[in-house]
This record gives sequence, structure tokens and C-alpha cells, in this order.
Amino acid sequence: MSASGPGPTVQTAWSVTRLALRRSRKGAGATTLMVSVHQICEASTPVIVGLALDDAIARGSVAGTWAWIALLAGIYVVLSACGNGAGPVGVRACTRAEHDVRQAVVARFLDPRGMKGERSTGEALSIASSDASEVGNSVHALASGVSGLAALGVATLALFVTSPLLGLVALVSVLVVVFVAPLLARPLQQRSAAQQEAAAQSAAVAVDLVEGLRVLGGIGAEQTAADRYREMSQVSRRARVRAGAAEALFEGVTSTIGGFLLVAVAAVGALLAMRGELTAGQLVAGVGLAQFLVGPVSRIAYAGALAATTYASARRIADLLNTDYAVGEPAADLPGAVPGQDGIALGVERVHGGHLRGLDLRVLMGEFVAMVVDDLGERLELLDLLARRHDPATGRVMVDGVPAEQYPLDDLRRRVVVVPHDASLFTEPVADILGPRPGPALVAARAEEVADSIRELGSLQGGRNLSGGQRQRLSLARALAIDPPVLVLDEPTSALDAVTEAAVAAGLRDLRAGRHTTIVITSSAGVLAAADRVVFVSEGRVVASGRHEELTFDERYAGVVLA
Amino acid sequence: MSGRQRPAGDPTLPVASAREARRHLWSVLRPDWPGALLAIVVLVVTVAVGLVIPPAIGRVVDVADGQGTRHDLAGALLVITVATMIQGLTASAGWYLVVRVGEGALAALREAVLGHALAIPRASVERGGTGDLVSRVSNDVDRVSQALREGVPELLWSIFTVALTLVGLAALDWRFALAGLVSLPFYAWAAHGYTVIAPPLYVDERRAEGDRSQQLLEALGGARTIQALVLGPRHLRRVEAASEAARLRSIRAADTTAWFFSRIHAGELTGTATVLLVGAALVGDGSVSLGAATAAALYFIRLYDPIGALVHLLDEIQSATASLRRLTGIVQLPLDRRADGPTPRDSRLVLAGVGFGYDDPDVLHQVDLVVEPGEHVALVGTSGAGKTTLAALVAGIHTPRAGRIELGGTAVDALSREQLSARVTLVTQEVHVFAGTLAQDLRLARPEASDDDLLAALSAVGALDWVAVLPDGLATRVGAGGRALTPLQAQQLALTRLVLRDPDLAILDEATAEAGSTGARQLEASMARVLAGRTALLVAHRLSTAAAADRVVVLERGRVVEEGPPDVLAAGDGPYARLWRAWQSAR
Repeated sequence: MSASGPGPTVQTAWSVTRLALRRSRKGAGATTLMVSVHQICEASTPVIVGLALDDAIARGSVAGTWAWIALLAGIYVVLSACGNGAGPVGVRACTRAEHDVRQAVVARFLDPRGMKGERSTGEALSIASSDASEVGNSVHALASGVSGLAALGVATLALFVTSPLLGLVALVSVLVVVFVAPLLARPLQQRSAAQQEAAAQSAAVAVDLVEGLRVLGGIGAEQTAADRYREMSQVSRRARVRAGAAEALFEGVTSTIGGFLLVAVAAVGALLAMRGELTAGQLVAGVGLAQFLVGPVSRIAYAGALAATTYASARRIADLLNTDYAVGEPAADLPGAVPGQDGIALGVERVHGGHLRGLDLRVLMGEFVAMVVDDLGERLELLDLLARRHDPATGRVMVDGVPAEQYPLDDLRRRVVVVPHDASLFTEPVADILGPRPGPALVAARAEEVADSIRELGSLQGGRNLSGGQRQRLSLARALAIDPPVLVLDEPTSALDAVTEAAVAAGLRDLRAGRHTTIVITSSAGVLAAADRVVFVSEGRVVASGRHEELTFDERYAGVVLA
Repeated sequence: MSGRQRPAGDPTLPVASAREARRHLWSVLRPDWPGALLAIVVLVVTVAVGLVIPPAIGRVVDVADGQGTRHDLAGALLVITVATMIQGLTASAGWYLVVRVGEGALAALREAVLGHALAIPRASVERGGTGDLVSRVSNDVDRVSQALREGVPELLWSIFTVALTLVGLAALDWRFALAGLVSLPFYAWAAHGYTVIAPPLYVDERRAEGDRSQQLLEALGGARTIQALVLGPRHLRRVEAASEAARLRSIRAADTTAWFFSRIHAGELTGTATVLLVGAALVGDGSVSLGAATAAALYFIRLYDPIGALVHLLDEIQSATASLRRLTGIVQLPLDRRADGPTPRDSRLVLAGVGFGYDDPDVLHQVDLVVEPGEHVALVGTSGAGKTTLAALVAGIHTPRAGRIELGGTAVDALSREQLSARVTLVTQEVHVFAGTLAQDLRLARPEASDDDLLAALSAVGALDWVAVLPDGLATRVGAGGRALTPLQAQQLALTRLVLRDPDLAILDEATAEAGSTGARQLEASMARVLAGRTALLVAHRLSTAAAADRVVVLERGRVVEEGPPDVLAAGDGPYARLWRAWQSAR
């Protein structure tokens, strides 16, 4: 027996990034190249201005200046073309990578084999949106890092060619600006980050209060809530201002150090010039290059930070993709299932699990069975077993006389449809919800009016344009329209009034009894009374089985159903 | 119930005009105008001090060019050093001042928005839902905050830098300033792109991203259903399509805006070239030194960043203005400021000839009903009969179109919100556990309650046994981001809040049986204890609730069709007896 499937192929952060870039490798390369060329062109601007100063402007030659301007214009054409092109090319590569990773995540989350251990929707959503987009950003990290290195190399080379001493001074000063200043400021930044986090809370509180507005209105607590929010908002404000003070200091320190760099380069350059080792234009180029250098070095640092976040995101994605399957698909070479001849559509044989204690159940083809399972744990475990969301610790589930795990999962779930109690409705037109021939299903679920009311707009935002009762009926009609050989429903009438409930129970019976098998887990007398047979489960076992009227004489049953 | 269903996207909340939005912004900035003025002065000083640097570098160049002494060089370097230090200081101070003023204004803004959002006429929330409001207090507040925190300071800095740098250029020689202005048309052209062409593209992009999030949320949130009904491939395709659509929008925006950079580049090139040419000409005729020409070129190069920032900011400011208009729209909503009416004598509730409708046609017609003090009346009927609407009318959420509703002899709509909420509590079908500690949640109902009061109230609804075993007791964090409570526990909290409010009249819109039958029975027991001694109007979805009431009122299509004690009605053969038999069926 295959208790659980083997895990998926093992992914690492690195393999996730490779997966992301599989189709965008060329785009990422082109982006990197274009950004690099753009950067190098920018580095050459101060050099050309310096050369123009030396060669033409110092002589007051307008004609000579034109020549340099022509060169500058040529460089600007390249700069502009590469800079402009990098945007669209980069966006194409990034979004392609992001898209591919997102699809892999969604596919894993929706895989019929399921996941061992629950993952919350919020976590999955965050992985499929922000983490996927971070991994897409690996294109930017690459382009930033490589272009930063290229520009740094070219600018440094230009400086050293101008004057080795000037180059050294500039390089050392730049390293100080980019690495030492943040070091000085790190304690400030950490404090600032902590305070930013405290400050962000007021936003969450506002959303929470507004979402609970009806409840607040009901107890007349709007003023109390507003006062409470004002307090939080002021706490946030003070935290923000303190964080701002730290940032302000950091900015001041950084810009002052940047200014000193300029002074150092200008001083050394001027001294060299006075000794005749440097022309005025070279000095200007040197000063310009030194100021320019801050850019590429910051870009490299930024690329490092970006690569770190990308890595963390890629690892979270790898973790999700690596989650073990809850159940396995049968090996392909198993002998094909021969439907059982014993007339039993669904059998549960001596199943033990977290809550079930030797549950035994046989449901005949065409039978309409209601089950009373009052313990929530037992109920959910039973539903999971029937849907094969996991396999039982011992015992087995038989479908048409064949063990459930011998069916391919999609095939199994087309034969046995288990509708969760809180089944989701999706934003889609009525035809997509109900399929091509929904008539009988709509009648049985008393949902014709519901379907009519959304004929134009369809179901919006997960059915939020419908009331609870309407959603429940539509969801039931959707399951009935599939018309599966075995249908398992969980409290399908809990949001309906007694009259509608009785009508739905009768409709279910008319549509399916004798033709297909139906199992309804319910505690509602209206549905129980309509069933061919009621199975009463308590303490993990079937303790009674019979028609509802007979069972009402059972004290325990009456205690649960009629109290 | 059916009256609440309205198509999504129905614009129920107003949006203010840009002018009103600006006026509102000014009104939150005005209280701290001395602070704002000081911040601006410090910013101007910062930029002005920075202006001495290019001419100083020009003097260094002159020295290098052989036009000065070591003494001049030391002087110029000293000027740069001192200017840098002053600039560092004033930049820090200015930044801090801007943050202080800005955060003060932002706090005032968001408090006003939330205060109004919470005090919004409840009818409009009942009808429009909270989605739009939530998006305003989160997304729009975020966007305005972002703009005020980063955009406005950068905008001020850019404007001052551009203006003062032009002054600096003119100080070197007025012809340099003219040369700099030659680039202006290109920047205006780029600005046109960002303000006119780009915004709709971004709006499109955001909308497509919103669709993608919605598809993702549905697919991931509905995973269980998708797996159960073998809908995986369909939803994977939908996510794929939404993701591709968003991708195409991003690409289109990038393709279009890429060319705006060229306009900026053209401005930079033209400006730099003109300044260099003018420099060459002026150096040629001896009217300026090489150092001054250098200074002019450096001045102009310094303009690249602020002008680029200005052009980009136009975009951000437009988007923030749109958000500000949505926020101002909420702040301008008229608040319910009814003065106190005559004090109700008791909790006797009278409805006479009440009619009401959300749109046409009416949902309720000619409803007459009297609830005596201490009496428990259950409203019964099929879904869509108007039970919830009637409860909302009694709670003062809506005003009847016809007839009157009186509490203790005073018309309900003559009572102020405070008067009404002191006497009437509505427990809605919708449950919400507020984020924060359990005690904070409960104190929303009575802020001055002691811990003992809270525990006593919890005990009254039978919730003490599970609260007692929570890891931190009353200090346990619940709601979003905290411990998840079961539906039963959440409903018990709602009843605990009612106990803490201690109203004369309790209106309960019973939650449907999501808690399972055992849970429902526990809730019924809690309700019985909570309602003892109060006047109560119960919207009964479970008939066992109705059976426990003193009197049952059956609604059908918005009319009272039957009323009387439950056992008497059940024994007859009216509508209640039919409901009762359907519910009881095989008992």
C-alpha cells in the first residue's frame, strides 16, 4: 500500500533560479549587456567634458567645442539606446521569469496529490506573488552587479590612466563612502527598521477595524474604536519621527563623507596640476569620475542585497516545491481496475486513524445514505479519507470493489466527488460553474433563481454577490451537475431554512436515488428523514444504522440529532 | 437579505474634487505651519550652501590652469569642506523637520479618515460593503503616505535646486543661465509623457495585477475545492492567462515609457552642449575664466538628478492626488450628529405600519409589531423574507420609508447615536474577531471594564472554560495574526460583548448553523443566559431558537403573516406550523 507518495524532485534555491531563467536567459543577458554599456557611456561623460575644456574651451574655440559635442552626442545616442532598451528588455525577462516560477508554485499547490502538512493560503499567496517577483528580480540583480563591475572597471581604468595617484585617492575614498559610512550608520539603521515595523502596525489596525465595522456598529463601539486607533496612530507617528531622525543623521553623514571625497580628489588633482602633471581638463575629468564612481559601487552593493533577498525567496519557493505529497499516484503498470461485481459502490474497511477507530461502512450502488458524525475531528478525517486527501493508517477504502489507491487520482475523484462543507465558488460565468446541461441539478438544489440572478455577471469575488444560502445551493448544484457515480456532501443545507432544506433533500433524492450513490454527512433531521438509510458514527465507529424513524429510538442518536 | 446584494464595484462612497483634496491637505498641514516654514527655510539654506561648491571647484581649476596661488587653492578647498559640513548638518536637520511635519500631517489625515470611516452612516456600509472602505484606509492611505514621506521632500528639494542653480549659473554669467534654459522644452516634453501618457498605462497595469492577485487568491484559497472537483488544469490556465495579461501590461508600460528617458537624455545633452559652447565663446572673448566655464558645466551636470526626479515625481504626485481625493471623499461625508432626543421611558418596542425598501420595490410592507419590556420575540421566515432588514431597521441602521418605530415612546430616528447604542445592541450574523488581545477585543464593548468584569461576562456566556486554558488568558492575541478561534468561540465572543454592553433591547441576528449541531446547542444555551431579563428581538434561523421565544412573528415576502406563542402556532396549521413540521419532520 502506498501510504504516501515519494517526494517531488528535490529543488534548491539555485535550481529554482535556473527554472526562473530557463526561458529568459537571453533576455537577462541582453539586459545586462545594455545596462553595462549605458553605465560605461555615463562614465565617459565627465571625461569628454574635461577633454573639451582642455582642448577647446580653454582656447575659447567654439568650433573645437563642436567637435567634442559631436562626440558627446554620439555617446548619448548609444547611452540613450541602451538605457531605453534595457527597460523593456529587462521587464520582459523579469516578468517571464516571475511568471514561470509562479506557475510552478501554483501547479504544486493545486497538485491532486496534495501536500503533507497544511500550508496556509496566506503563505502560499505570499510565495506565489512576492517571492516569485523577487526571483524575477534576479535579472535586475544580475544586470546591476555586472554593469556596476563593468562601469567601476572602466572608470577606475580611466582615472589611473589620467593619474595613478588620483586614481588611488579616488578609489580609496569611494570605498570609504560606500562601505564605511553604512558601517557607521548601521546601528542607526537597525533602530530605524525596528521603528518602521512598529509604525506599520497602525495600518493593519485600521483595516481590521473597518472590516469589523458592522460588528462595531452593532455594539455602538465606533467611538471607542476611533479613540483606540488615534492612540495607535500617535504611537506610530512618534516611532516614525524617531526613525526619521536616525535616517536624517545617516543621510547627513553620508553626504558629508561624499563631500570630503570631492575635497580629497580636488586637492590631490590641483597639487598634481600645479606640478604640471595634470591639465585642468584632466582635473575636471578626475573630479567627475570620482563622483561618478559612487554610482557603480552602490550598484554592486545593491546587487548584493538584491541577490540575498532573491536567494531567500528562491529558498522559500524550493521548500514549497519540495513538500512531500500527501498521497501517491499508482504505479502506471498496475493491472487496470475491474469494477466490482458485488454491488458495493463505496466501502470503508476497518479504518483506524487519528479519530476513527475501526470504521466499517458499505454503501450500495444507487443508495442514498445519510451519516451522522457529530465529532468534528472524525467528520473531517472521514471526508479526507473518502476524497483520498490522505490514506488511512490501517484499513482501506474501496471504490467499485477496487482499493482507492489503485485509481489514478483524477480518475478516482471523477468517480467519487467529495464536496467540502465550505466549498469555494470562483469568479466565473454561470456556464463555467455548472457546465453545459445544468437543468436537473439546478432543480434538485433549488438553485434556479440563484443561477438566474447571476446570469449576467456570473459569480463575483468568490460568490460574494450571493447570500450564504444562495452560495450553498449553487455549490450543491455545481456538484450535482458533475453527476458523479458517488457523491459525498458535508452539511450541504446548513445555511438553508427548514422549508428549503426539505425541498433540497427531496430534490437530491429524486435526482440521484437508484441511479447514483449519494452520501450526506448531516445533523439535520430534514435530510436524515429523506435518506434510504442513516449511519450513526460515534467514537470513531459505526454504532447504529437504519432508517431515521427507527434510529430515533436510540438514545444516543436522539441525543445528537433531536436535542 | 436580498436587498444587500448589489453588483460589485457599485460606487457608493464619494470621491472629492482635486481642489477639495488640496484644501483638505492644507488643513492638516496648517496647524504646524511654523514647523513647515522652518523645514522649508532649512531646505533652502541646504541647497544654497551647496551652490558655493561648483564655483569653488572652478577656482581649483583656475589654480590648476595656472591662474592662482596655493593660497587660493587652500581657500577654495576650505570653502568646499565647510560647505560640505554645513550642508550635512542642515540636510540632516531639514530631513528631520520634514519628517516631523509630514508625519504629523499624515497622522492627522489618517485619523480623520478612519474616524469618519467608523462614523459613516451604517446604512451605506450595509449596502456598499466594506471593500471600498478597506481599500481606501489601506491602499490610498499608503499611497498618500508614500508621497508625503518621499515625494514631497524630494519635490521641494528638486524645485529649490533647479531654481537656485539657475541663479548660480546667472551669477557666473547671465548667458549661462540662458544656455541652461535651452534644455527646458525637452524636459517639458518628457513631463508630458509621464503625466499624460504614462498614468493610464500604470492604471491598466495595476488593474491587471489586481486581476492576477484575485485569480491567485481564488486558486490558492480554493485549492481544496479545486482538487475535489478536479478543476486544477482549469485554474492553472486562468492564473496563467491573468499572469500573462499583467505581464503584457507591464511590457506595454515599459515600452512606452522607455522613450520618455530619451527626452530627458536629449535635454541633458542639449543643455550640456549649449553650456559648453557658451563657455567656449565666453572664454574666447575673455569675459569669463576657464574656471567659471567649468563651474557652469558642473552646475548644469548637477541639474540632471533633480530634473529627472521632478519629471518622475509628477507621475507619483498624480497618483497620490487620486488617492487623496478618495480619502477626502470620506472625510467630507456628513456625519450622523443628531442631538439627543427625549429619553425613552422603557424598552417597549413599537413598530407601526413600517415599510422599507433599499431600491424599488419595498422589502417590508405595513409591519406592525409590539415587543413588551422583557419579552423575547423571534422573527421567522424563509430566506429573503425580510427578517434581517427588519432587525436593521429596529437597530436604527435604516430609516423606515413609511410608518414609525418607537422605543419606550420615542421615535428611534429621533434618538442620537449615543442614546441608541446605550440602549440597543445588535449582534450581527457576521462575526469578526478584532486583532489584538482578547481583552482589547472585549473592551471595545466597554472600555472601562476590569479584567474581572471581562471574566464574569465570559463566564455568563459559558466561554470561560476555553478562555481559561488559553496560553495567556485574556492577554492572548486573537484575530488576524493571532490565535484562530473556532466559529463557536467567535460567536461566544460576540455574545460576551453584548453582556458587557448590557443593553435594554438586544437584537440577535442568529448565525446559521456553521458551528455544527452541538455548537448550535451550546450557543442556544449561551443566548438563553445572556438574554434573561432583557427585551429581545431574535432573527431565528434555527427553529429551536424560535421555540424558546415568548412569541414568534412569521414574515413572508416582507409582511407579517402570523404571530403568537410558538407552541400555539406549532399546533395550528398556519405557515409556522408548516415550517415547524418541515424542520421536525420525523420527530
